[in-house]
Amino acid sequence: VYNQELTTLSDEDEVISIFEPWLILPSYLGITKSKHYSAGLDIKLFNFWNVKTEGYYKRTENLPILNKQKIFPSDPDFLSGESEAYGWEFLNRIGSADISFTSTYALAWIFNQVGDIKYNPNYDIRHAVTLILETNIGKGWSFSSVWNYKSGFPFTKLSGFYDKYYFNNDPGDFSAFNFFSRFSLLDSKNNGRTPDYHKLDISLTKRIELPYLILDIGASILNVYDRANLFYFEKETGDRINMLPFLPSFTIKAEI
Amino acid sequence: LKKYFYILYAFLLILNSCDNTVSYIGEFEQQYSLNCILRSDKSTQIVTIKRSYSPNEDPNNSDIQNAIVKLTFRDSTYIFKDSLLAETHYAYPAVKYFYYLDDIVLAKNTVYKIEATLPNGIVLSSETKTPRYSKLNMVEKDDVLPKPNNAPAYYMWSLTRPEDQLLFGPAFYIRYFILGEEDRIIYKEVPGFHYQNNLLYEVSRESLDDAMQSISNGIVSAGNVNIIDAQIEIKVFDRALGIYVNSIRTFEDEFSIRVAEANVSNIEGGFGVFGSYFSEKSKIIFEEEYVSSFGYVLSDN
Repeated sequence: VYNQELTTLSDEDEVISIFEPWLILPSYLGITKSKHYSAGLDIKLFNFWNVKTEGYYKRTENLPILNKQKIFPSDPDFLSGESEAYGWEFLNRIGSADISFTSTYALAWIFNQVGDIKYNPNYDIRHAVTLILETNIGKGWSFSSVWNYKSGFPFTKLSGFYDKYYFNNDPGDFSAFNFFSRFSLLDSKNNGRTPDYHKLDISLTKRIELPYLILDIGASILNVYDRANLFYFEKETGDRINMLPFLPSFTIKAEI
Repeated sequence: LKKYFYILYAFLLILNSCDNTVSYIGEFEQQYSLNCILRSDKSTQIVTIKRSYSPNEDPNNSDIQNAIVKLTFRDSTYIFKDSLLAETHYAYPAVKYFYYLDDIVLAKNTVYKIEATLPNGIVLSSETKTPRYSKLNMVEKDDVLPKPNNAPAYYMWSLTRPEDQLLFGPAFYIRYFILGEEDRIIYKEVPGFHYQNNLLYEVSRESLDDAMQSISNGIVSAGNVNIIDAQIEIKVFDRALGIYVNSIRTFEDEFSIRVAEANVSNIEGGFGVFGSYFSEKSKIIFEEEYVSSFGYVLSDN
């Protein structure tokens, strides 16, 4: 059983929530509690081969969810929700002192519920794979490559806009000619899924040990095969903004 | 090893060619909004009707024309006339077409029904009960600011005949103009805290100072700012309008802003608001020394 008195605040209607402040849970919600059941195996097949696997089931109560129907200042900022998560994780590592290959796979389902509304939260990622190859080539050279794959995560689609009526600051001018501002109309909560994310990063490093100085000279490439991974959508236009493209870089690190 | 790299390369090539498209745009459904606030201080009542639009659409033509809009109260029905604003000085998205009804003086404690039949047959409707006008008394009012020792200002009110269905919208404004633009009085709202159940509004000294300071943002010379006075205004809303107004407030008090806005409406068949209100305003005076501490001038107006 886990208890937590801090939480992050995020707007789940944003495809990517960039700013997530930490908050102390308000007293009216009670402490977030979860029951976590897990069972797993850790098998060492040989000295160079390790396999781990674990299944889990987690049920959370008093999960703070942003109250989007707040009207009055006295209304609560958060509603109490519930969450259910279950899945399976697998790790396989084969390696020696000079070369290692690690692969992980996670399969997960997550559901949040507030009142009668049940939905998959933004962090409900069904499949996640990581492959890591690390080699010590010799003579101070080392090479590593990391490949990540995540299936898409849920987001709420924009179905349109309407011009919503607001009031002027001028208190004497409270009329239907006050200003209107574009208000987003959203589809059902988290009814869309982003495309799969995957990316290969590689790096090559040469270590040079000098008297009183160790130099690490490295070259790396992010997103080797220039995958167009979604970062976020412009809310006003629906334009897609992608993450970093193919990006080579060079580094020099000195240790005295 | 070579074979391994060929396999890996082929795998990545296949993976990278997988469908990577996604649309942020969901299924668009045409919807409509109606806005009408019945005012007791004017005899012309205005209605605007707008349609929703898809993200790919030009939003400039969202006004609905040729609707039949009826206002019914006390067994009488009136039909709104439609009109066009030739030019508008309001920023986008402005109103171009609207509906109006002349010579309607609001009766107190009366149920008003509105019904708009759009050209495509869709009906938007709502009803409101005007407040039973009763005198609003300021029970407590700090009418000279700032108060000594940085104390907050308090404004408390009561109604001679309270009604459960009424909601209050207190607001505190600094009124000022810029030298050379004397005809354009600007209202700067000072966020305060509304104690909903106590009919009390509190304006802290920090909030007042911040608002005063922000007036000169973007102004070349603070000496051009002429502070007239401040106003505490208590709007008394019917319940539907009160909920709507509270839902669109961007702040809760001087320390908090809203991060989410509920889309509330009392219009059947669409969005928007139909309501009524009355209001009382009261003047607040500033100490000259306080105004000049920001570099502003206390106006004689």
